[in-house]
Order: sequence, then C-alpha cells, then structure tokens
Amino acid sequence: MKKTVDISLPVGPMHPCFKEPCRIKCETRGEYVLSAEVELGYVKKGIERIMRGRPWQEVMFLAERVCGICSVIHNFVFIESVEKISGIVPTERAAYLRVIVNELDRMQSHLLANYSYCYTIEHETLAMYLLNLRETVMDQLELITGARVTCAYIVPGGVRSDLRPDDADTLRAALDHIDAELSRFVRIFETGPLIALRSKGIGILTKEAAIESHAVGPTARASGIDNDQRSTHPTYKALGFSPIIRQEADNYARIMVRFEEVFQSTGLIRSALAAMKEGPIRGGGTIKAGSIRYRGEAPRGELLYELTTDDYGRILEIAIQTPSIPNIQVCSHAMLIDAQSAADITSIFISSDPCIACTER
Amino acid sequence: MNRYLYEKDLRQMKLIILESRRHDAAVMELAATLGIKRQQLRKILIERSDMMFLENLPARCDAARETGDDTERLLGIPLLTQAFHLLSREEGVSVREQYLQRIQSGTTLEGALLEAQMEILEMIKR
Repeated sequence: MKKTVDISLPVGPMHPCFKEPCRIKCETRGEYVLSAEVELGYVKKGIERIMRGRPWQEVMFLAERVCGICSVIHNFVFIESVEKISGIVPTERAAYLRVIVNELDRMQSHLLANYSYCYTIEHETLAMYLLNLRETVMDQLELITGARVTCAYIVPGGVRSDLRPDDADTLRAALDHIDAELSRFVRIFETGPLIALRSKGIGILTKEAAIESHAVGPTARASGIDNDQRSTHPTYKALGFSPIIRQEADNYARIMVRFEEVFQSTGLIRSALAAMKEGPIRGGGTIKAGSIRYRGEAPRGELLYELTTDDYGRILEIAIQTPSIPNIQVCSHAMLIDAQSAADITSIFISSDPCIACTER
Repeated sequence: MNRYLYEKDLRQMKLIILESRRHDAAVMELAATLGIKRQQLRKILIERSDMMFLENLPARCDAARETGDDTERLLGIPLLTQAFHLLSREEGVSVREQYLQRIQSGTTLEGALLEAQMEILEMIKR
C-alpha cells in the first residue's frame, strides 16, 4: 500500500470486536478513512487440499469443518452437488427436513452476526439478548440433528434422522418464542437513537459497487440487489420463497435484512412442517463419476462448490468459493472508504458479517 | 509516515492464492487473451492487488464473463476492466474503438487484434 497520508492505522489481527484474526490496514487523514486493505493468512486450513483424493464419506465431514458457524450449508451444498452428479433425488420428507435444519442454521448465524454488531457498537444489552435467543435456536438444532455445530445431518438421498411428532411441537413452540422475543429486540434496534447514530448512513455500499465486486447475501440484498440462491432451489420454490431486499445500503440495512430473514426463516420452517408428509427420510443411490458447479445460499450469501468425482466416489478436484470472500473484498474496497470516523471501521467491517474461517478455507 | 514495524512481505501469500485451481484458470484465460505468459500476469497482479482482491478474482471473473459483446470478449475487456481492474472503463472503451477503427481502415482481423493486445499491454505497464 502506498504511504501518502498522515496516519496508517492497523486494526487487528487480534481485536476485541473480531471473532477471528485478520488485519485491516487503514490509511486515514485524521479520522477520515482514505483506503483500507484486509490482510489474511493467520488461520489458513488448506481444507480443499486435504479433501482432494478422499472418498465422499470423509469429505462430507471435512466440508462441515470449513466453517463452524454455517456448517449445515456446507454439508447441504456438498451433498446436493454429489447428488446432482449421481442423479440421486432426496425423498420429499428429507427435502423439507433439510430446509428446516438449514433455516435453523441461518437463524443462529444471523443472530450471531447481529450480536457481534451490537457488541461492536457497544450496545451490550441487546447483544446479550440476541446471544441468549441464539441458544434457543441452537437447542432446536441439537434436538433435530443431535449436535450443535458439526451436525452431519444431510446424507446423499436424504437425512440422517427423522423429526418425531413431539419434537415438531417443541420446534413450533420455540419458533413462537423466537418470533415474540425477536420482535421486541428489533424494536429496540429500530428505535435506539444511539444505534441509529452508529448505523444509519454509515458504511454505504452502492448498488453499482456491490455488483462490481460481486457482493452476495444480506450485504448485497441490503443494497437493493435481488440475489438469493434459494429462489431457484426446488424445495424453497415449493414453499413460496422470495428474497428480502432493502435499499438503504448502510450498516442499519444490513442488520435489518438479517433480522427480517430470521422472521422469514421461522415462517419457512412453519411452512415446511405443515407441508411435510409422513414417509421415508432416506433414498438409495450410488455416487458416480462427474463434474459440477453447484450453488447454495449460505447465511452470508452464495456458496459455490466446484467438484469432480470418480466412479469410486472419490473427490478428485474441489474448489469452494465462500460468500465471505466477495463480501470482505467489497467491505475493504467500497464500504470502509470515506468512513468519517475511525471508530466506524470495526462496525462497518462487522456489519458485512465477515467469516475468516470461510475465507481461509 | 513510516512503514509498519511488523509489515511483512505478502508476495509469497499472494502467489499461493493465485496458484489455486480457479485462480489459475482465470489468470491463464487472461494471459492467453493478452498473448503473455502466466508468470508475467501473476507478477503484475501481485504488485498491484491486495490479498482480498486476489482471493475474490474467480467470482469477479464469473460475473465479467457474462458481460460485454463479442468484440469486447475477444479483447478481454470485461475481464480487464471489471475482474482484474488492470484497465479503467474509459481505457476499455478506447481500446475497443481503436480496434474497430483499424478493421474499418483495412487492417486484417489478426493484425488489429495483435495491435490491440500491444496497446493493452502498454496501458497495463503504464
């Protein structure tokens, strides 16, 4: 980076507001941010290389370990990729169960992201409320899959375990509780004068800049871009899914899109529970040789798996493009530029929900 | 302003990013369009771009491949202006116009393409 300014301000790699290590190198003139560069390489896993040459049964577990926050979607997209290659179709009940677990994962990820944001702008009360509510979601995830983080719930042709009738009732009650509590928290967020001061008009990402840097997920949708891979997924289509879009393009919009998506997820889960009929949860099939580029909608945006398999079910080639990669780039090259205060650097960065584990896969 | 005390050389890290499969395919595609070696393009990218920009290269290339007309795609203008950011949009328009002018003035397609490639390389090195 060229040194043309009076202050070079490094933020991180270890910072109280960051969940994971990365360094933002900012060039500032006083408080005004002129440019920013995100430096990575502190937690590189090399997981794509570990996956290469291994059978799908092993890669399935490795895929979940790309990210500890959105592990279900990695499992979801990887399994659907090998299913598409092999012509395997999941049973109807399993398809709905996949949506339920995926939406629970999205809810906990969004609540964690918004917790991080509230913590960053030092609204710890709301942050702790959100973190507490996330535990309710995590309990439901554990109830259905048997695990909180690395669930390995989705398998080719179906899912690993069924939802019992009393578990469905517990889930419905939890969804009602989440809706009621979250409505209260959203009201606090919407009406808080200090929250507005730190969020509205801060970290503007124009639609043009978002398109140019290929921003995805809530970051793009908060800038008015209609981009959600769930719109093209057959099960979501059957549930009448339509993406949530806002136009404000600031920190506030990004957080509100996530809040609204949590409400949307509870609605989708209720619809899936209503539409789900009794039936088998696992079908049959054998993994075949082939190549595919397959996309899914992770909590942070579009997740791409590009893989090649052989007749023995081994993964010969794999490349994973996680949503945090474009989102962090757009954050450093568009959102952070022209920030009026150095205090906004962390809040703008966190508002894009960066996941370093995903980026350093 | 002094340099960071703990500033490290990121060239090796950037090279590792560019060596991955999807990045390599993107670099190979543009290098072939420009008629230069992959290593030369990698060197330019490492000097000019930060790590996140390089990490996001395949996604931007995917988006850029869907834009532009046939002439622009032949010259690699969508990739150069939108994905690699080696040319500005104005420079891209100028290269395209000059290429079309050369063809209208009687230059062969191959000759015009070669001249356009030379012009792009000069712009990049500037």
